[in-house]
Amino acid sequence: MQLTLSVVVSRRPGLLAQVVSVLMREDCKLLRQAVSQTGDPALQRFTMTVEGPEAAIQDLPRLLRGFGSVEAQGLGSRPAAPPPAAVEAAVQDIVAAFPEVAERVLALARALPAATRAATLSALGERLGRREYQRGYALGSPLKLEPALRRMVLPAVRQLAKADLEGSALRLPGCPFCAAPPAGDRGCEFLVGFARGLLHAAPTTADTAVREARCRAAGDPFCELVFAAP
Amino acid sequence: MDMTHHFDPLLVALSYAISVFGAFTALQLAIAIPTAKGTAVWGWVLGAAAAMGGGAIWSMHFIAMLAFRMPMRVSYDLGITLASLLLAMLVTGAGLWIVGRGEPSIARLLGGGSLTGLGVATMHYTGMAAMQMPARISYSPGLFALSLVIAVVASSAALWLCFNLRGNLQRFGSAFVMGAAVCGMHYTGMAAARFTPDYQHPPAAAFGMETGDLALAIFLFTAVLLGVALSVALKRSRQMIELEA
Repeated sequence: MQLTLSVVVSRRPGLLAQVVSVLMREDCKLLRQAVSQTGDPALQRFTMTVEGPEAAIQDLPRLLRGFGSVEAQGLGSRPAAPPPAAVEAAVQDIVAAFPEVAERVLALARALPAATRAATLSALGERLGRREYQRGYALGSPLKLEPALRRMVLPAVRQLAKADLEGSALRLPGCPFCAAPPAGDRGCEFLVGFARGLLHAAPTTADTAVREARCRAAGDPFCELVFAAP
Repeated sequence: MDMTHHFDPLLVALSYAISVFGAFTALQLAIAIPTAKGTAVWGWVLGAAAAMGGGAIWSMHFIAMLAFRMPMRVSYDLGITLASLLLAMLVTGAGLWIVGRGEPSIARLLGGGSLTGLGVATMHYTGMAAMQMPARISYSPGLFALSLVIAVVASSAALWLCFNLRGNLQRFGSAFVMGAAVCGMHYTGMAAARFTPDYQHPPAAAFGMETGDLALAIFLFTAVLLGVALSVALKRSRQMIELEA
């Protein structure tokens, strides 16, 4: 089975090798790959066509989510179009309103087409996460993952929503970015991007994989982000 | 001569305030050491060492000595007083550099914390040796050792807060703990001191500093510290505004 995937990631050395190692582990072959620019100079888009066993191919979007926001577009489909000017204006509005952004992020999520929603929200979250790192967490000794989660990610995310750490998982019992079914609004990609931006801006946690393990929009009792060192 | 002495409580409080202020300035500069690139690291180390050695420790010590009222005229040997200042800067600068550079570890923290604490103690006992008065000083060994332990333990705690935490505990908590390290060491060291009348001892140095000179030196150091603290705060707030844009 073949599939074309688009992954929006932070620029950092060695990333392509890490992605390829995941493909090899899953017995998948990389048929084609291209790197393109995004609207944000700190991010780039990997577009890959891969081939492998059906079960592995279907699981790939989940496995690659730790590297960045993933869109599985099916064979032959083209990468998502860049956000239009109206979207960029909404993004600027959200950046200016930080940390009072939940309603604005949800409004943006509703306005975006499904094909670009996850990538746009994730890129926006990363942008704000990197900015927040520079504003409040860049000075001092670089923190390893566990203290970084407690002393950086948790207080930064708490500006946006009620959150607690359970081991290396961040739980948001009343995540304002998602709504339980039947509304099913979903904006956790923003939070994943925000946490990723914070961690990837720091030299000691630049390779941390961040993914969403549970989401209220999918019927879970809370949203949960999980983190793993490479 | 009756060697009874006492402390002026207002100046004691001022000595703690100046040590916290100096430590705040020093640690605000020191937290830039881990991520500084190239030769810029030396600027941060020198600035932090000057603020810590000169402001948090040296100025605090001499304000505390002004608070220490003795029934005799006291002046300070200029050479030894300046040496105490340079020693404080040198040793605490080395301590901050050790903690701030390289992979963070317990060994680096304890090494840097010990050096910083010993820098506090070195300044104090060198400063005490600069006292010119008709009396000799001896120290109670137990309290002397305790003053070193307080300096090392509290300095290590302050550096851990400064380099490993984020937010208000990093900014202010570390300064208050470092102020406690300096003052705890100083006043324990003063409790360890025994003054014995000795009229053979030279009453004043040829190039001695009187209390008025000391007050002026302290004022100058404090003014410079204030300027550095304000300029650092302004620079960081400008960076924040740029990030908001």
